[in-house]
Amino acid sequence: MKSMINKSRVFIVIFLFSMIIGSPFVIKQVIAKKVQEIQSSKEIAEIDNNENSNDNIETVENKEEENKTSNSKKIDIKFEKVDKSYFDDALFIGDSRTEGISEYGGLDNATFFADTGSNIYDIYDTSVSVNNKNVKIEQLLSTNKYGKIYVMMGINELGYNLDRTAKKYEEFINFIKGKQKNSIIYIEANLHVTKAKSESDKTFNNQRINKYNEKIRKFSDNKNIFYLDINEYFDDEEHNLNAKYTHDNIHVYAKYYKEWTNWLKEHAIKVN
Amino acid sequence: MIFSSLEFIFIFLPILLIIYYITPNKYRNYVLLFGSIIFYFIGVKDHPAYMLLLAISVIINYFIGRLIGKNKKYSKIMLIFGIIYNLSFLFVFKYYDFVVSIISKISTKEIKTLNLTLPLGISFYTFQVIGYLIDVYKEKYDPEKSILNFSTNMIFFAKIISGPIVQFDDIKKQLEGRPYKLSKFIQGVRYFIVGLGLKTIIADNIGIMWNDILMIGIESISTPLAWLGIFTYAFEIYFDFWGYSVMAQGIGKMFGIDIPDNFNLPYLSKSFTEFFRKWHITLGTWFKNYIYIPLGGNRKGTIRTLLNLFIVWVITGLWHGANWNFIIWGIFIWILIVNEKLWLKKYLDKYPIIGHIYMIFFIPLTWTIFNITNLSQLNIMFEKLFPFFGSNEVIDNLDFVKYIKDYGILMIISLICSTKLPKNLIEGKEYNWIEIVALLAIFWLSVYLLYTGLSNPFLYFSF
Repeated sequence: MKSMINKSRVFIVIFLFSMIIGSPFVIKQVIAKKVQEIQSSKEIAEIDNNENSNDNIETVENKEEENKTSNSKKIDIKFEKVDKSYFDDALFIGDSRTEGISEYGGLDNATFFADTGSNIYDIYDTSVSVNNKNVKIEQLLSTNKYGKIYVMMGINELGYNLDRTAKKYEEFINFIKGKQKNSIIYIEANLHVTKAKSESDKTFNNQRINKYNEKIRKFSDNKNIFYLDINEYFDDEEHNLNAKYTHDNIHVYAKYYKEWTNWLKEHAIKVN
Repeated sequence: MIFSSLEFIFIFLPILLIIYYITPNKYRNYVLLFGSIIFYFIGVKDHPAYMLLLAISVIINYFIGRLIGKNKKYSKIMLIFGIIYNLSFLFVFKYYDFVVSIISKISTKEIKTLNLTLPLGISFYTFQVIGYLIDVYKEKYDPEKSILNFSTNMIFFAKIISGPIVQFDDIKKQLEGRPYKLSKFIQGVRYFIVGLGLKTIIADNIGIMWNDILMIGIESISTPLAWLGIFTYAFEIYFDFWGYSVMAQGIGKMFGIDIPDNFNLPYLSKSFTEFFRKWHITLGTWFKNYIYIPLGGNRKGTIRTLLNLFIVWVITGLWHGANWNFIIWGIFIWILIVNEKLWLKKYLDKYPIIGHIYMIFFIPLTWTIFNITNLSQLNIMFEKLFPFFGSNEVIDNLDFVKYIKDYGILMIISLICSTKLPKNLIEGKEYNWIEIVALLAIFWLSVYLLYTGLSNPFLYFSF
């Protein structure tokens, strides 16, 4: 009996000791996460205020911005219809939605660099299995030539400052441009979430997604870099992801990825 | 704040424990009450009105309890009033929209749904306090005179969110006086660690596979994957709820309070009759004591017994959720239990192999009905499981290979942990080096998984 009692005390002493050592690290992480949550809530509140004030004030700056974007709209983006062979030299870079396209979209001739959790902050360090080899994006872009490169990232970074993330995104686009001088780049808008998700989540809501999509849209030039918005296909009347397309409010059902790639086939830029 | 969260394990619980043990013995119940209020408040911070709802409910039930005990003439009326009072809140928050949806299918009347979020723990604390009122009416024990003890009992944070549904008297006695032994505290830590591991290491991870399958879409998966899938869900719901219940017991013990078992190796059962004496034990006991036996139990002939069982199982189904699939689930269980009672059980018991195969086949099927709320999706799932009846739009016939690769080890672990191995680790009184290392490893692996953010909120939470 006595030795058993002592052993239980040995256990509790070791356990408490490990708690004392481990707690600071864990508590630091917990607090950091809470701070981030508060920050992104503040950012959302700010966005709300800015939107309201923009409705009222028509500054000279705003007007110039409007003219700029409407000019790029005026340059007629001639999307054309292509077939599967268009994607022979296509590279898709992205997160779990792009993974879905790779698994269920039927474009087995294209190259996919996609992984759940991919984000613009870690993209250079991310290793993905491509053709049974683990590669990083720099390697892939340095050793192969692609005619068109599709990029879709943003949902995993929604918790961070949107301007900071957009800046990183711009850097990444320039990085691709530097490595693949003759390819066209498609900046894909991030997919919306459903109304139910958008209204209940402080971070993953369509307000933030739209704001971020607007920011990255500015990097398109309609000459070599184009902006594609799949949401026009999957949205409901209120511009949320139509609930019939999804179970988890974030990803579409596997069977709809074929429709996604069909939409891509109808919104292509023919390279000379 | 859920038990399997870093805030709870590293901030809330340690601080509360320290305050508790610094406080002199006679004021410790105040610390429990105070801690429970804070715990609940954090849980309902998006709907602070629910805190008020709980407070009012506690006060009203306290007075009803005392009035029942005081005045024999009016005790029955007070009891009925108390039951209606408590059930009406449960009805409004949980069942109103469901009833509206039924009415809208029958008549052309347009009634708006309320779309309310369920107040935290309402299904559990409602049942617990109704049990209390009935017990007091039946003079099983005196009503609680101390409003402090009554409140602490009803909102004790270890059990308010998702049970176990403890007999009021159980906690009442312990609130009045409990011995403090270091061995019980250590036992509490042990319970908590194993419970945390069951939930975080097994349930949350195997749940990802089931979520993946739902995300792909049931109509697109292959039949082998469908079968694999429902087994993973069966494991998820078991280890999630068992883990939670064991954590609740551990927390209780850390404060010197014993909370009864909720699970006793249900997946080793040979019949559903046996199964539901070992699964969510406190709920089964509640239904037996407060509905089945008052209806007559099995003492009024076979037909009446079957009817009583039917009522119990439909209500049990509905308690779990306000949807048709839960009613179908309840009735399905009833059909199995009736068959066992009438002829099947003696074979299941006599030939354990048959009993186990029977259970291995039916358990995941019943949980499938329980999980899929949309009836047309449920239909598609059953067509997928039994493909002789429906069409099959499989996208990839070999999709299950990837999942066996990714989740095979976890599935084997789940199988092994469905035996008495975890129970031995939980209840063991010995602390040999293997066990000490195992407990430390389980704890820190769970913390690591939480740290990297891979966990799901507790399944039974919307209750």
